[in-house]
Amino acid sequence: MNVSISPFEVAQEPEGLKNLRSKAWNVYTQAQFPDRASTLWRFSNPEAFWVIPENISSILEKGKIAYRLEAPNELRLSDLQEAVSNESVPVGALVGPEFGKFEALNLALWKKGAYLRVPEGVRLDQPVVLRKHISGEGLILDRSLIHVSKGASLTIVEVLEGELAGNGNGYLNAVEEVLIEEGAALTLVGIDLTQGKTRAFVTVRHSIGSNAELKWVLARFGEGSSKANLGARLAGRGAKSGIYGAVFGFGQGKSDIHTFHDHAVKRTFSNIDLRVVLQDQAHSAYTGLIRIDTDAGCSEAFQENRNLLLSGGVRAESIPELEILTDEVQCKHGVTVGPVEEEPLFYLMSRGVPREDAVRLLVVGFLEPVLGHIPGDFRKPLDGLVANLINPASEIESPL
Amino acid sequence: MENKNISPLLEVRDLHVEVEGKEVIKGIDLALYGGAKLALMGPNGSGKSSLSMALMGHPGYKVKSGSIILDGNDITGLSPDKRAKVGLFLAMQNPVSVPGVSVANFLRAIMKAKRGEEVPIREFREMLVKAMGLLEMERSFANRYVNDGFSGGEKKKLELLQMVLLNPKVAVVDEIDSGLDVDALKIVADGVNRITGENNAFLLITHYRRILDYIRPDGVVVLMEGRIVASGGPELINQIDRQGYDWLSAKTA
Repeated sequence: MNVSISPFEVAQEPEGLKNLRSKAWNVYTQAQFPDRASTLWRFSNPEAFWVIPENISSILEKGKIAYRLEAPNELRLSDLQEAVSNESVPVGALVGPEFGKFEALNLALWKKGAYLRVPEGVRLDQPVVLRKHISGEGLILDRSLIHVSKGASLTIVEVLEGELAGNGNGYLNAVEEVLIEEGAALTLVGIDLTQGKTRAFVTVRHSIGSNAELKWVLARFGEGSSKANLGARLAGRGAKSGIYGAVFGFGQGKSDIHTFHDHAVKRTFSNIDLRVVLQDQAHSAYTGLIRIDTDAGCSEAFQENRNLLLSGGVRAESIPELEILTDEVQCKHGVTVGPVEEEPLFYLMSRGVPREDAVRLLVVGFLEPVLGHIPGDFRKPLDGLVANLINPASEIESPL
Repeated sequence: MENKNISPLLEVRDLHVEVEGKEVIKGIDLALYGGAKLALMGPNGSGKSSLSMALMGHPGYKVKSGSIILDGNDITGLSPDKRAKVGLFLAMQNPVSVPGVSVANFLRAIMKAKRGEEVPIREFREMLVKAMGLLEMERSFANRYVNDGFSGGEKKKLELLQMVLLNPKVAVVDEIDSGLDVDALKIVADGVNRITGENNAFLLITHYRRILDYIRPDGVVVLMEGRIVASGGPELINQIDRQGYDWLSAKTA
């Protein structure tokens, strides 16, 4: 096999990271393109995320990402690269060089990254905010690592803002690794407020220790396109994971989301509630895999995907998958796809609420079980945003 | 019940209604004047609820001919929200649940629609607390999702709460008594009685007399197979209570 050297090798990095980068660069440049027959790539073309290796350095220079943490003093945001050089930080432990071709691009070349370690036992009542601001054009590599130590408990709100210009030459390639140690509880709220037609390729992996809990809330409202691979490994007994997603796609927006709940050990619990609203010509694809390992008996896993279609030109696909390798488990999954229901619409209108306001109320209500998990200060603007995005005139023809 | 010198608040003229191509209302005439409480009785399947849905403009109930006049306005072709705006209200027999929409947000949207502008939060809260007190409702009720997981009695109370807040000219109250125990029935009936005045009118749909012991109507019409087969004063209620509807069925032939 050809071993090519990454164009961004940084001399002062530890040997371990250098090796990882080199392996990852190899995977990016040499590995086959993903097979489009596989579920993960059925709805997105991998070629869209390929950047010719020779062009990468010039493209990378044009994109910018800035990280900012709003948190009490006991928490400090570090630059991931600096952190790796100064202490033992498990970069690549969850999304390593072999994870996938485009994740490998991230690992080989990321320079700026966010590292947040929450010390043991730290319990915060107020949410901390991690802002990521993107600008410029070309390719942006965003890499974050969050490490929640034993018994810590907090809410982190991650807000992605800004806009990536340029005509589809580049995209945001983001990888986030989250370690949640034994007995810790993390509520992670991801709000994507990127503007315009920003393209994103996002991979997130959590590892949840015994009796630890993840509550992960995602809100994405945009006309950009994104392919997201979101997963959590329930690695310790009693681990819990809940993923709550709200997507509002409009214009030519495209959302391709894959979730993976990997039950590795006994007595683990997972739940997914993904709610998608589509308008104009927006497109959503969802594939959700629940895997329950041979040793993971007495586990429970639930998964639900609901799609609300506001225009005739939209498209929603949903493929739930179960891979259950043991007995004594409880699994349920469900999918619904349809327009605004006529009876609630009639009900609201019969009380004098004009049709457009009634539709707005119903769409916000549809997303409420997800958005309801978001802390108040961040929640309210989202309701307003959703209400403003809805164009009831574009709604599927209805007798009302 | 009628005062020929003034025009009715609600007038239904030779109304024919179809559901999925089948005629369910076969020519009905009705007039409701200010201050009236008219009971609309009839056995199951006689067309009572179909009439109420057609009055409110449900898209599944198509008016084939005839007209509906509310306070002088022909509302036959109007959308449900516009009918409500003119002053019609339908308290539904089995209102649909609206998950994700809290009772408070829902009522605020309703009040905004009625006024044509947002009701200041403080004023809305005062209004809500007062109306909920009238119906002996818990405050926490306002935070629940509309009709979601509600008991039969809670649904009826929410219908009534909206009626109190909207203060309609004409309220069609469909089977408000079904699913209510006696205590809840009294509260609901009190609520109706309290908002009854010379400037509004009620059409009370029921097939039992129970509710009519608490809300005393001043007239009764009986519907069978989509037609009015009898009308009269409150004494008709007792007759139906004793004899059922069979003695009237000959009239529909």
